[in-house]
Amino acid sequence: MHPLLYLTWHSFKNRLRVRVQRLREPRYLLGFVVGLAYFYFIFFRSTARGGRPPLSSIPGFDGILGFVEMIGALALFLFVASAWLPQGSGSPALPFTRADVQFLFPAPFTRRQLIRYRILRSQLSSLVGSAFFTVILKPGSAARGWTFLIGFAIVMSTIRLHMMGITLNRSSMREHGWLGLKRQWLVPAFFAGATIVLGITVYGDWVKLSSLEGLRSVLTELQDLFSTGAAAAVLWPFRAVARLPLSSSTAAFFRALPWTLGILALNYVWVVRSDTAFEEASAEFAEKWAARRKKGIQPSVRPKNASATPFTLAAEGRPEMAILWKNMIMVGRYLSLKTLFILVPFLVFFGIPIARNGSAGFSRAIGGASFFLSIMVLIVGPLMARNDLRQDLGNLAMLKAWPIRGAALVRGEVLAPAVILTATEWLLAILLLIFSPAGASRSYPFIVAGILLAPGIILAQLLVQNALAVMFPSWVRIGQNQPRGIDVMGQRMFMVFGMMIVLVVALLPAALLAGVAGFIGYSMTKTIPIIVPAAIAAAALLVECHFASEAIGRLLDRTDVSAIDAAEQ
Amino acid sequence: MIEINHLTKNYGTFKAVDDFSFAVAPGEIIGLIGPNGAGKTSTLRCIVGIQAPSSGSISIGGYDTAKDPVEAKRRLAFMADEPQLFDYLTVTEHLRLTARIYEVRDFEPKAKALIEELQLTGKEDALPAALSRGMKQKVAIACGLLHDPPALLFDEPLTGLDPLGIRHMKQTIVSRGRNGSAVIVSSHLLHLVEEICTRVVIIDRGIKVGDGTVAELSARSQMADAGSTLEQIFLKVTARDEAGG
Repeated sequence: MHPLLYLTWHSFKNRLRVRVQRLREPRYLLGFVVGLAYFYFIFFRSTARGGRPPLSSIPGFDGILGFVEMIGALALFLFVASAWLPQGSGSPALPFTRADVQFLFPAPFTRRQLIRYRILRSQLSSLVGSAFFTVILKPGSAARGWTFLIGFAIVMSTIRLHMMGITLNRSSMREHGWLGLKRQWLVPAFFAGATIVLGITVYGDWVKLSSLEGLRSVLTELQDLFSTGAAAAVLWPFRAVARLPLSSSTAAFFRALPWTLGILALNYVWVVRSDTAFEEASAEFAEKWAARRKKGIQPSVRPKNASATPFTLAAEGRPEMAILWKNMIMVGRYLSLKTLFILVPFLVFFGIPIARNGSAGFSRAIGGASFFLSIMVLIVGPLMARNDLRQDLGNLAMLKAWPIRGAALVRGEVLAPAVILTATEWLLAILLLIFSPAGASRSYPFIVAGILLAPGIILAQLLVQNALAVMFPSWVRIGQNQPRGIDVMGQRMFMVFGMMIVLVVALLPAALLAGVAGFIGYSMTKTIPIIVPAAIAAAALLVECHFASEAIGRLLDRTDVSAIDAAEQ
Repeated sequence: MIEINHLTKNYGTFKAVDDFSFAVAPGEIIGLIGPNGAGKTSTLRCIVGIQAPSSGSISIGGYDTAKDPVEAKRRLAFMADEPQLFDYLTVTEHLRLTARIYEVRDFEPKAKALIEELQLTGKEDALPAALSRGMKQKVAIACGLLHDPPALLFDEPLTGLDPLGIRHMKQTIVSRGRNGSAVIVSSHLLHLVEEICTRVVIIDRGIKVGDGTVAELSARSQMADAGSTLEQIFLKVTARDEAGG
């Protein structure tokens, strides 16, 4: 057996064995049982009782397949096109592990062989992922089951291959700048051109699109728009890929298969050739560098300087501020202006109504976006902003050696995401106050209440997340380590469920106090007070958060770092 | 300054450290040596407070690490074998953060002196990604020495250093010992231990199998000749000597 095949097969087999073995630990077993129960109740039991039917047995499903294909193609295009946007500093390299680098890179393999090895490993995950989605979406018949399984696996393989190509392309551009782009301009140029074509198509039809009522008529219009002309041409590869798993019959599957396999093959050739181009570009760069040196011209190599700190850390004061300072620096240095490119789709989305409807459209768009984003930040923000203990668990050995109480460490760690999310909420609240569709006079008490409550709600969620990280460190992603498996999925559901309960319990006293204050206020003035009860609830939440940080701190003091080390492996 | 009394550390059913006791007086430099998996790192981690002992007690400068961990840690510095730095802080920012954590008032002149002593001049604004492993090691050591700790723990301090760095590191450890710090150096480099340590503690399978100066250990281990090296003593007491069995 080829050594790389041997490595792939034995890694797969042993990983499976380790997952089975770790079920001996009660927390993993519990997670596995919860995960299995979830699968059973959601996907099997409901069918046995005549509950949720397979997706394809929904009346008229075949009729809406065209819409599904169009939406799938558009989603695929947006997903891949957004991956081409410049990332913040240090966009990921090819997913080689440290062991890969140490064992395989010095071994007598070509770079192309190593890339093929990574492709092979990623295909195994595609098959597992496809099986998972087949179980969830439950195609209506056995024929549809296998065509969906294979079709979806090919779609996932194609996406993975393309992502790999983007990574290689990026590393080439990072290493060689303009030379790298010159070598591999075709694919990024296609995506740039396709984005412009689709944007112009939607813009040109915006008056009609914005006047349509009902989702079906909008989808019909979009389908018509994207089925003709340049838009149809640029979306064709994505429709071809999306069509395969949606095939309504075996014959349709085999008709779609050659096109999808062709696109997969094109991506494969592109990825493998990217490597050649990379090496050739390296040689070309080396030649140019030698020529420049001969002429005495030094290429402009700028040292990577650290950006300024968010504030100057005083020599004395509470340790929480030192940790806040550290974590705020992290945010500043991990994000860059390039990261703001991810806002481009939002700007386009909200920009079209602004361009079409003038100042009224502008006001409506800003007000609506502010409201939508403020809700998103409140709910998703504490899960996404991980520059706290969740990020620092890998450094716990160092943190625990510091002469700081666990409670102070916990407070310091949650401060940075809390400050960032609260500031974002307040900024959005101000925008909402100015551009509120309901009018400032009617909405201001609610917005002020939101401003008062935001810090406490955000802090409470962050503390719950950090408490879970301290209590169950092996369930938390540390660095690049991403735990997988049914047991881990069960653990996550267990965590989400636990978090919801804890949050409800945490919010209850604050809500009760606010209710009492509201009742007293109403008895006295015969109007429902908003701001005062909110202020009381906010204060109660902050007091609760303080006590919670003390409790989590005590837990952290007792945490054995070996539990984290074991989770990292 | 550092007192370890009947320390035991278990990982499940495995006993990594078993009833281990020793003390380090101010000015002493102790070499903690032992084969791989002997329990050296577990011992150091328990002393530092990274791991909790299963039983026994540890005190630093009279402060029990279990009862008064903050005060005990304030008097301690631990330089791990693998330097752990924050990816997004520069060298100076690491020192500034450490100064704040350990409440070092005259931080700037001390930081400047340490940067010079550890040959980090010119790297003040560099992020860890731009530093070699040896340089990172030096940054970690600079952070450890910033608050003039009376108790110092070094885990394989010479790893990744160049010859000049090794010489400077040895000087740094010896000078801290001479200035009255209690120092523990854990290393597999027996010649280093023999050269700079005033006393040696040998641990094997979690149990203390030797404690004393090289001459004392030589006498106790009944080595044939009085001029036995630490290597010979080590192999004898840990029963790893191929010739002697």
